Amino acid sequence: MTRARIICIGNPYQPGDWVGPAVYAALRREAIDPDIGLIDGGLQGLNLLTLMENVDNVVFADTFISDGAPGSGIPQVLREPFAGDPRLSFDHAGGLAYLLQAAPLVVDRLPRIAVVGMDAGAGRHRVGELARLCLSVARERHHAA
Amino acid sequence: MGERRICEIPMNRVEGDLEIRVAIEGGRIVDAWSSGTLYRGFENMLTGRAALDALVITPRICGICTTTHLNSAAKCLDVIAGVVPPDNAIRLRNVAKLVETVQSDLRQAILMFMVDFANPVYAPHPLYETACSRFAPLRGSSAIETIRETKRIIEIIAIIGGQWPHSSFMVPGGVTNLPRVGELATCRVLVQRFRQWYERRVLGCALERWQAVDSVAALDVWLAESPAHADGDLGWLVRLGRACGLDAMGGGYRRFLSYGVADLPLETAADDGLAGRSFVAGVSDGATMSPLDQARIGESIGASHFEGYEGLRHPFDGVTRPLPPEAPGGKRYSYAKAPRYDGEPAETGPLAEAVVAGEPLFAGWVAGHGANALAREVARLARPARLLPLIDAWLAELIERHDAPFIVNAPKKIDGEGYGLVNAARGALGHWSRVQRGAIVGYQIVTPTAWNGSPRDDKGVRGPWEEALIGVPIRDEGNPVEAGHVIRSFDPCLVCTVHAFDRRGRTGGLRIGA
Repeated sequence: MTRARIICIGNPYQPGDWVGPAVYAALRREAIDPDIGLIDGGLQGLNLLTLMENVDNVVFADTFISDGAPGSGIPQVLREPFAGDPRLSFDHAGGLAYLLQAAPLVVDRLPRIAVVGMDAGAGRHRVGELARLCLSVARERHHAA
Repeated sequence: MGERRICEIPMNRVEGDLEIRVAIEGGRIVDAWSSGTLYRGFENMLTGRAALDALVITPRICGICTTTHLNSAAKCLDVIAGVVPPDNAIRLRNVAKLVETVQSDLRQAILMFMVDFANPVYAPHPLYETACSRFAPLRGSSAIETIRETKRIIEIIAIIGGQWPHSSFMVPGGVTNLPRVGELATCRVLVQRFRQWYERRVLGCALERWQAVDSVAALDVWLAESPAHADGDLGWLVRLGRACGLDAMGGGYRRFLSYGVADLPLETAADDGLAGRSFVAGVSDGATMSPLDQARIGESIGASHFEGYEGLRHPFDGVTRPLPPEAPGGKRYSYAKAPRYDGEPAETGPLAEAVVAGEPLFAGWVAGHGANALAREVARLARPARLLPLIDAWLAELIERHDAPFIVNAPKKIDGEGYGLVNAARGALGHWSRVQRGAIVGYQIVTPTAWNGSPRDDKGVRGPWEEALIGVPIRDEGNPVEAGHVIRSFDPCLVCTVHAFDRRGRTGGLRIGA
């Protein structure tokens, strides 16, 4: 069984949604642990539920929209995102939120989940740092599993 | 008559960015403008790239119809390369595309459309409590089951494509791989398991019983025949839809377009139950069907944020030169173009597919009562009853004829022009491509939502769902659920349709913080 998956979310052809695809491209050039799967999740939304099965932990890499909140320019980790959050969003920013709220309802053995990302305005020079953070979170949870 | 007022209709739960503006007079919509607010630009991204790049790039247009865009792009390249894929390639392409269609139909109907019956405006209705318990987002029993079961069936695409998501297994001349017999058998198990759930939860009966429903009168008989029929999701759709008046709103133009449900292998026993009519591309006015001639398709940009020509242009001659958006109320109001067939707007989608195929229930429904929001949605939720047996039949044939070829050699250097027409979940999807010295010099994509959600054309003629909104009663302008029923009955997908900026400067990702 794959112990961890890093699922990169976003559309490489859409300005402002580039962070996840850039992390995917960066990690493809790295030697990743054999039991960590790297997935180009694109815009697949609910279609990614299958990839949350038979795995111990899942790390999503995505663009954060933080409206200039303090610290938004640096890579961040959200643990247990949307747990118990009753809000629903269906706009462009809603796909991952919907997925993460649906997952506990239909995935039999829910993996531990983290979302790692940064604001699109943070700049591409921070992609390497973000990719390493994704790997670190995947490994950390892997070893804790 | 009351005072004429212009209102913005908030449209969430659609794929992509859609704004609807309506004029209301005397409690009814008297005019409507549909605006896709994003510039897509894929056509221009493709220009100058290698011809086969379309197989990788166009599936990225949409997170829902990725396989269908791949199918359309591959068919386009088949034509340019001058190759005919062997039957096993057609079967595999069909299976993958139809699985995507089935999951989309269920998700749109249950997760996007039916949830409106849980709108507080219906609270006084005796069916309201059950509507909430079944269809409320992420809480309703049907909503949760639909997410679970549609998650399973798309595993078939992963098996066929060898990768999930973003497979590019369809190539000019066929497909890259034929799954092993055991894998195909697993696909059949997944289809059969899904069918059992669909029969139990959605239809409340066997597929064969539903397929015998051949008129609106027969629909009433079926509904009253068994508590299981009335209590299935389809039964609830009919009951709730009628209670909310959906069978009397959202008519639109009586002109329907379909590219056919799938390509027919040369040798197949797959039976659509309609003497093969569902595989035929055509245009129908509800009574007479004419075979499709793609040369009669043209796009207008008269009310779109584009420049470059006047009148209609065939997609081979199309150009995509975006303009900045005009202020609200301007002549140009959408980043969708306005496709027309023989110069006229046409509706596409599951209802159009059924009407063009002459499916008795829906052809009769439209002939007798005209198109309406309920008929559109019933056609969508019932479509898997026709598609699931086809999927299973083609999987069985792939096992029986496993030694047959799945690809023919295509020339490595291709030049020329071609088109790929397929029915996506939302209706007619076409790719048109021109290739010179191996590079794309022109690419146009005409999506189902471009047909349905088009703005006005050069002549000022409204698009299909703009027209369908005319006459719709709005009881509460602060909660215009009736307009939502009509628009959602077309299953809008603006992600594909608009030709990326958001006026708020927000275009994707996960929103955090204040």
